[in-house]
Amino acid sequence: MYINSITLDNFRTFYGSRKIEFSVQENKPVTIFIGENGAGKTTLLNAVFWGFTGRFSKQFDSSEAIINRAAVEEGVKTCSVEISFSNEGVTYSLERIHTKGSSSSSIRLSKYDPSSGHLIPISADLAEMQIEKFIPNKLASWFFFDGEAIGALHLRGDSEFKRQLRQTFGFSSLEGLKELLIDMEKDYRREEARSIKSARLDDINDQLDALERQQKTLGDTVDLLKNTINIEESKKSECEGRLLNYAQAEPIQNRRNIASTRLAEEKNRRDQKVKIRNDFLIKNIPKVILSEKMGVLINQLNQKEEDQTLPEPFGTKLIDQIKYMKKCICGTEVLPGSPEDKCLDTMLNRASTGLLMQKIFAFRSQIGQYKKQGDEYQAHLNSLVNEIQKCESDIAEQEAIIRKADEDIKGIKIEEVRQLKESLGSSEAKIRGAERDIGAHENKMKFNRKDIDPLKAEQDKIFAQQNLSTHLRTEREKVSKILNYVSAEFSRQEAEVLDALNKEISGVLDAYLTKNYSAKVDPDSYEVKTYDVDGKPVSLGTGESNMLKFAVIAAIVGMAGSRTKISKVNWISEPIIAPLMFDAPFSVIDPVYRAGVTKNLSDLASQLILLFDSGKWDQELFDILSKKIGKTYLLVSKAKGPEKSVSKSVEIAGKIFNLNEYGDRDETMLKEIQL
Amino acid sequence: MSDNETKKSESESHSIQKLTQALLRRIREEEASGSNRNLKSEFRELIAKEKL
Repeated sequence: MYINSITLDNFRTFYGSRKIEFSVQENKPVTIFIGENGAGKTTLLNAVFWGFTGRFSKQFDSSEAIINRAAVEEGVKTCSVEISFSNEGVTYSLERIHTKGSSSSSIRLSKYDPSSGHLIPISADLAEMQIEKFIPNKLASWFFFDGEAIGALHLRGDSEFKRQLRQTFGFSSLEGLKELLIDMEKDYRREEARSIKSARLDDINDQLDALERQQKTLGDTVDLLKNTINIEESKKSECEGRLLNYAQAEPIQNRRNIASTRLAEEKNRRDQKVKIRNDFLIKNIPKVILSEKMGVLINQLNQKEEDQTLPEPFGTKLIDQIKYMKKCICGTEVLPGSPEDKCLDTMLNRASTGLLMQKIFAFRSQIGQYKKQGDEYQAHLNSLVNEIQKCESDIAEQEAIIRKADEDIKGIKIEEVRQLKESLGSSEAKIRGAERDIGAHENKMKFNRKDIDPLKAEQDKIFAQQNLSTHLRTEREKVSKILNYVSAEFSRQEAEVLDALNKEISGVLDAYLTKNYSAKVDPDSYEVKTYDVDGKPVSLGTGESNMLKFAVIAAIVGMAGSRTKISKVNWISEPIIAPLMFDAPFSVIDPVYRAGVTKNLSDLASQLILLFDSGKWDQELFDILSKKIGKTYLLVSKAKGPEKSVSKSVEIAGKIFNLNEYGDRDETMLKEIQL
Repeated sequence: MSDNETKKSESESHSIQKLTQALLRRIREEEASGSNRNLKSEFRELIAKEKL
């Protein structure tokens, strides 16, 4: 299938009618769109996605009205997209229309009649069926793809992934045909047996009927269980997707719990320190006070010494005066050489020989000792106070963490996250249970087949002995021939497809990874596993894993379109061939792999439509794609209001193009450029 | 195997291939329509018309 063009009519940011033609040239299958963030790339992707499926991609904000706002203000009540596409040489026109206030949309499908040159409408009932044939609704997200969502795709191989891949390769039709032929063969065999009169044959028929009834019941149960797995897988996937979008309360709660524990520990530590400080103070406060007082005294003494205001040896002037007057103030005469005079000399001598100073210094030294002890006490006290302050600061820090966690947790739908996790766990348990039951049922079926085969052989023998050449036998043999052919072709094709997938994906890994890794698709689960050079399973990093996913998508579309070079599949069933349309294709791709992925996609896709953010577009991409680009469009953002000095532009092939304009309304403008 | 037998076998193989494609096409149409219609009787008629 190729998309020729799309006409958007008042669809979201596209005002009025805008027709976009895509490149359908075999040697230039690439159409690129470049626009700044918010210019309408995702809208364009969703216009195509919605046109084919009636749905929007998960990343698209569909809550916003899909009819252009300016058009609504002018009284417009509908919007539509019209896609012109070709499949196996026939051109179709698909129009999907949305009417304001309606929760659903309607479609009109027409087929182009080359002889008359007119479009012939296809009835509404058949239209959905036809579109489903061109691109199955559930597979659309594989072909019309938001590059940022590639992380959500997983290659771990569940039943839904396997089912979708098998549908892409047309296996489901082959399986359906095989089952139908087996059933028809059984019917003929039964009818044939009923036409022959034989007691043993009747017995065999009864046994075969019973075994086949049992096989049917077992098969139906296995189908139901497989269906359960599908349902639970999609529930699981939805839960996982929604959980990814929600901020998780658990890490915040864990952070809060840790802070809470630390807070209690710090408070406890602080209380202990306060007690130690208080005990220390009670025990040592007199010493501390004394030390403080001594300190004051020493300081005063030191100051007096510095100021040279220490007291003079006492009474010097008085003695001099007595000696001069030769009489004491009490009236006693003090004559030279008298005992009173000698006593005065002794006292004068004691004062002037510095004995008093010695006593002062001795005293200062003594109180210095007390001061030293006091300082030690003070230092210990200070250390305790510091420790308490440190505890207080830690307490404040933990309290801040708890407050922040409480604020963060307010915005989280804790109950919903809990329910999602519960639902996820329940789905996983149901899947495990169903897989276990399937195993048991399939074993039983295998066991039954061992009984059925000899009974059938005996039945054939009896048929042969009867030597009847009936119409029934001829028809049964014809069915058997077709069944054998289909079974053999199915096995061959399945093996070819898996082998080709392995070669294609490994080829990409080999070409773009420095490591010697290869990839293999598990034939049972369809899980894409990677192996090192010794054949041991290895896990890829996020960047490598995203590259692998692009490689898988490219390999699938390449194989379906028979564009792969390494491998070819001889299709008996018809694979689905659809264009690849990527929005922000390489935003999650590690820059080192971008060139490889781009080349790989453009080599393998029969039609490739890429929507680039102008910030991610560069010369390297142009160099890789330039020879394959058939059409190039700019998505120009037009903003309502006066022109601002801020402008956005992009360089393509050495030319600069503007990406924004100003005018009378907000809208996305499309400009095709020639390179 | 004689030339005649080889030719017969080739012709039969070709008929089986053609018929298989026709049956597959019908299966796909039914898959796409989402109907659960049993195709057995229709296939019986289609196969009965072919000489294999």
